[in-house]
Amino acid sequence: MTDGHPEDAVPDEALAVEVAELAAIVGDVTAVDHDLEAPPPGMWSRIAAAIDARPDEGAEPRLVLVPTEEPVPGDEPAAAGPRGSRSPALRWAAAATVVVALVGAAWFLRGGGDDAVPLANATLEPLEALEPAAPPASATLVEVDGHLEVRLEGVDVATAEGFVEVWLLDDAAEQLVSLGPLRPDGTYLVPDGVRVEEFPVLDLSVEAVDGDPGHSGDSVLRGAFTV
Amino acid sequence: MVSPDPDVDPRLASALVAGDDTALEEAYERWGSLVFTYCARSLGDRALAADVTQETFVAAWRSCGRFDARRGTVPGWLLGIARHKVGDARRQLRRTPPVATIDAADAEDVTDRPASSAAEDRLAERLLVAAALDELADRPRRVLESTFFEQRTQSEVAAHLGLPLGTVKSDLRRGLALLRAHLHGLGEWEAAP
Repeated sequence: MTDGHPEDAVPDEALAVEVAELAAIVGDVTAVDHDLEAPPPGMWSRIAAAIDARPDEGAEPRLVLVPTEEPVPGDEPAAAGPRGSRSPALRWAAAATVVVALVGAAWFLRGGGDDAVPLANATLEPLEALEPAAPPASATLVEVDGHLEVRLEGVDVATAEGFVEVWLLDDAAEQLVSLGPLRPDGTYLVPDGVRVEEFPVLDLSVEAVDGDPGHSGDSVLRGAFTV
Repeated sequence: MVSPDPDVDPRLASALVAGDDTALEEAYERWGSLVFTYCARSLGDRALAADVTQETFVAAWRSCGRFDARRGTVPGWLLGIARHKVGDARRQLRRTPPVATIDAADAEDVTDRPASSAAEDRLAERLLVAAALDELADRPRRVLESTFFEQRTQSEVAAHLGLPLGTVKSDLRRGLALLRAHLHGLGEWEAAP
């Protein structure tokens, strides 16, 4: 269709230069880069709730614990609604899906289960105290029968001596509450009266058997609860 | 997630600038996977990547009035934000040292680290190029792939694909413009912090 134009008979040098400039970047692209991973379900609901609830605020998301009455098995993102009248959906999201998003997001991670209502989750990353470093683990904060529980998954800490203890810390890591030694069932009762909003950081430490009830300072895994 | 219609981008961009929340949702539907994949591959942690993806879109929403479609595309801009959020998340992880060192009140000496590593920049660029290629129609995509991956000249691409040279040039011109626009978007967030 363009054969009639004489300039189309010769290559475009400027384009060739541009190709050469981009070759290093484009040439590195592999099939993996086309293979995108979908975000977890319920993600849009979380975003919608966040932008509507805090429209003018610059602060980072804070942990907000919202007790709910019963588990919600999964989360229908607002994205499923009809297009064109999305603002009402967003308003609705702010009013109602904070709870759904909390539950849905954590529920997705846990894969459903008992009467526990997931409220928040944490990813525990290794700290330097242990060689070799422990692999990352995860924790979910759940409400069961009016009590809060922390449920740990994937903890694999090898200690030559001593034992592993589980703690809740405040943001500054200055105040702490012990949840006790590592348990085989991975479930830890949060003492009534302890507000996880004030102690949002889950910490695992290696403790010597020396009778000292304090934290050894040798943390091996740590992560903050987020919703 | 990636629409085959590149023309949707200017419309979406202007809706975003106007603060239309349905535009943010559309951007999420189209590029949520791109952002999440970038975060997950940078951080190596899906739960953290989900948090950072959320922060990225929330930050995009708060700053979308400053988005300039002439200086980059929406996906480039989103990944530029994500790159900073990944850096923030990394610093956050490092900011809480073991308890033993806390009493020295030295918890703040960890923020010297650059917001993003060179490897993360390369990753963002590769993902954007891949997204741009996926957005192109079949013929221009084949022209670009033949040019870059088989290192053919324009004349060779024309012969190889059985296309007039003029078609190869116009496909190449538009394809390169899209690549550049995506990649420019990446720097847009730094230009207007």
